[in-house]
Amino acid sequence: MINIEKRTLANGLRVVVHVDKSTPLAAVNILYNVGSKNEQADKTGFAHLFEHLMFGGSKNIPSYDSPLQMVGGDNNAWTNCDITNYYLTLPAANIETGFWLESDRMLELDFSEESLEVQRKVVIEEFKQHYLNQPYGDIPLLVSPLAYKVHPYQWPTIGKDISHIENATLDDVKSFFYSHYAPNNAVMCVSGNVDPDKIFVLAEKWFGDIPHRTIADSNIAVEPKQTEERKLEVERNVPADMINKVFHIGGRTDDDFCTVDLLSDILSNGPSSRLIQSLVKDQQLFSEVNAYISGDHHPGLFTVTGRLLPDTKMDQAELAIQNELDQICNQTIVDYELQKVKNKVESTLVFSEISFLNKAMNLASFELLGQAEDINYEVEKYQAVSAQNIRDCAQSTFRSTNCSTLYYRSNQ
Amino acid sequence: MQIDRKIAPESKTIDTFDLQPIETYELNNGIMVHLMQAGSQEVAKLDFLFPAGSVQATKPLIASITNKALTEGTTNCLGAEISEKIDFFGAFIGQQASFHHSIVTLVTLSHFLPQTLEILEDIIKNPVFKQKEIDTLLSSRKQEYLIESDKVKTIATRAFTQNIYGKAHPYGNYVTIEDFDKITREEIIEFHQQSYIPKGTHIIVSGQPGNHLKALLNKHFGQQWSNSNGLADHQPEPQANIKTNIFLPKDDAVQSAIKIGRPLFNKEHPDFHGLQILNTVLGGYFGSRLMTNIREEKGLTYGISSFIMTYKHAGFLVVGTDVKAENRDLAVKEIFNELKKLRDETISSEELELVRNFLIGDMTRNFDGPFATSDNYRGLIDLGLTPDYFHQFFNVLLKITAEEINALAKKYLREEDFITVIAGK
Repeated sequence: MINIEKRTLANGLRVVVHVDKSTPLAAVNILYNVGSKNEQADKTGFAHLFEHLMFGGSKNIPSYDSPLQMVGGDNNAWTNCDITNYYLTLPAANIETGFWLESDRMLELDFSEESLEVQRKVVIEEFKQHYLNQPYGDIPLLVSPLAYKVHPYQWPTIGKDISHIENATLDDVKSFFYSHYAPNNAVMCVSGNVDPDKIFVLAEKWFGDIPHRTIADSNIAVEPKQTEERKLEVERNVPADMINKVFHIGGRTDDDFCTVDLLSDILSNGPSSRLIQSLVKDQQLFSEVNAYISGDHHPGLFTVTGRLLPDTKMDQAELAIQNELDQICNQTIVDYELQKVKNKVESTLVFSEISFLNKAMNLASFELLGQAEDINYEVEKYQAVSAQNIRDCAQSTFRSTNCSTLYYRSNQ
Repeated sequence: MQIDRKIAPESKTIDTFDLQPIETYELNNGIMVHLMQAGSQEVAKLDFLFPAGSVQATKPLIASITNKALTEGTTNCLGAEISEKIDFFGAFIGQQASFHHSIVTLVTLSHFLPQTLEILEDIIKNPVFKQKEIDTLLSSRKQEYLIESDKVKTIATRAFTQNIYGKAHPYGNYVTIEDFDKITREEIIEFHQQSYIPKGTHIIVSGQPGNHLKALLNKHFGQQWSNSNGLADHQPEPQANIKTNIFLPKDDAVQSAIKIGRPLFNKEHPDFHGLQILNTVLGGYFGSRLMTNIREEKGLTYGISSFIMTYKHAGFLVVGTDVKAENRDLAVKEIFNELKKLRDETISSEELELVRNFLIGDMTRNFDGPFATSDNYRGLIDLGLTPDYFHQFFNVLLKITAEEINALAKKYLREEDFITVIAGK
């Protein structure tokens, strides 16, 4: 059971505190409810570019990093299609430095042409390093627009085109800040060796006077139901063929989330899982297979992917995957196998609770989606899933008209 | 409440370093156990370090394939059954071969320790190494090797280590595609018999393994199951012809990978701790000289860093980054400029305090909790060092002066000692 105390400030900022006295450190995690799904189709990659600008200095503090490093702290951030998450860790005695830094950049950034100019270049190099200069790096750029025709999940967080980043202006940056960065659009979670009462006093002191802001209405289009099988074939200079199949599933807060998560675990979580045992070890068709869900807030994707061994043909690979999917649709799994994946969910949760920073990130995320306390009921939700639930879920997910397939062929 | 946002809140300087106590004892057969009992979760992590690294092996890939194949079946149990049991207990087994050891890691809920240790014993002592399982591992590893060989970063790193350690020693990382076809089952069985042995093996335990740990470990691993004395360690030969410039063209590269570095010594050298601090100033944290100049001021790259790699018998310092081709020469020039500035100018007291405080915080983070502590400690055992190493580093960190850092820069950051490797365009 994770202990939780929380308050909401008058300006709408939600503050969650978790005490963990086993560490001398503390974490401050601030999650902003903005990701690449809040971008316009002609200005993609903006949420992530903006994350870089958040380190370029704020209204009253010229450098974010140095004062934090000076008190023994460290920090980073990440952006995905739904949220932008900033976190820092530091000796618990110096926690107020974290409040000072985070509140000033929530209050107002130091918008500078110079910082924008540099970070545009940095992000373009990041785009090249991760998506263009890596074997198989462009798969996300190909799969997302195949699966989504309307919803902004069709472009990856880095952006759909380098030119969007090149063309970002300071006005774009300012308007993005004031329409998404606000106390009422954020969740703060503090964890570690802290006293909740003192944290609430500090929260009021540093964040209390930041004004409530009007959040842009993103009007995010709903993806229409897919009704036809989709296929895309590309050839690249890579050593081996890959196949990548995606199926539409529900969102993170849907009732069947745990069911679909367990379905992916049955297929590929751990060395005894079905795809690994059958396709890698037994039939020896693939060097690597994987099945996972996106966990996005809006309806997301179930991915099944594999890298083919040299003697395996693409149609043979696809058929072998299809056989596994058919099997889980047609035969109810035995209790033992279901219990196995549930045990793994439970132990993974216990292992993840060792890190106070992990707990801060997870609690902020649960608070955003509902309430932080829900984290303590996760295992129960997974335990409640039945074998019939799994079969129903497999049948409604693994339909050819719900599937987009990328054939990624090697030309070597 | 009116606050002045321009003024930083008061803060405390941390000046103590507390390492969790490490209890050590021997099993009945002499295997050394290192225990870090701490943490509030009922979980345990056990790292088994066998003297079965690539240095002890006679040729490439033997150590890593032997290590990976351990879980693919025993005289009592098929590989699939082993996986099935481990997954059912919600446990994880990690396998990894390094230069001087091969490691098998078990992470488990503490109350399943008796069951999971029994499986582990079988894996370690009775693997059958079926030809089919070896072939599966080899073909998958071969494909990974080919994919890695396509990355400019890997191409540059391999060229750098081959250049300073030669092709004959594992430190050089010289593996060819033909090596994958030269591994025989007999060699793997032989290597396993000679090196997965009590002599020279360490077990590092962290978390809350419970009160019966010693008895359990003695039950499963305390007998003299092999009389092998282990395989010989050997040092890399000094290289006669180290090149100072290497360019490896790759036509379809979108970026070029740059590695600029120099050979060094291992962690036991008296200058080592100071050099770690100098390296942090140069490129060891987000606010480093290299990050500030090449990323935050010039926007030439997504990331640039320098680090010191140490092995048991050697070490090196290397700066690494990926840039687009037209920025390549500027990036190289600026890297050498930063080395020169550290030689020519003493760093300011403000920068020294910042780096000192950052590293103190970093040490606290690196030793936060039993698992993090054991990971760091494992690195020392691999090199044959004691935890005194951490305390010595902390003492140097508290006392080092700007002048001492400058003296180290003059001694170790001389341009003529550096090797430049570029892969890409």
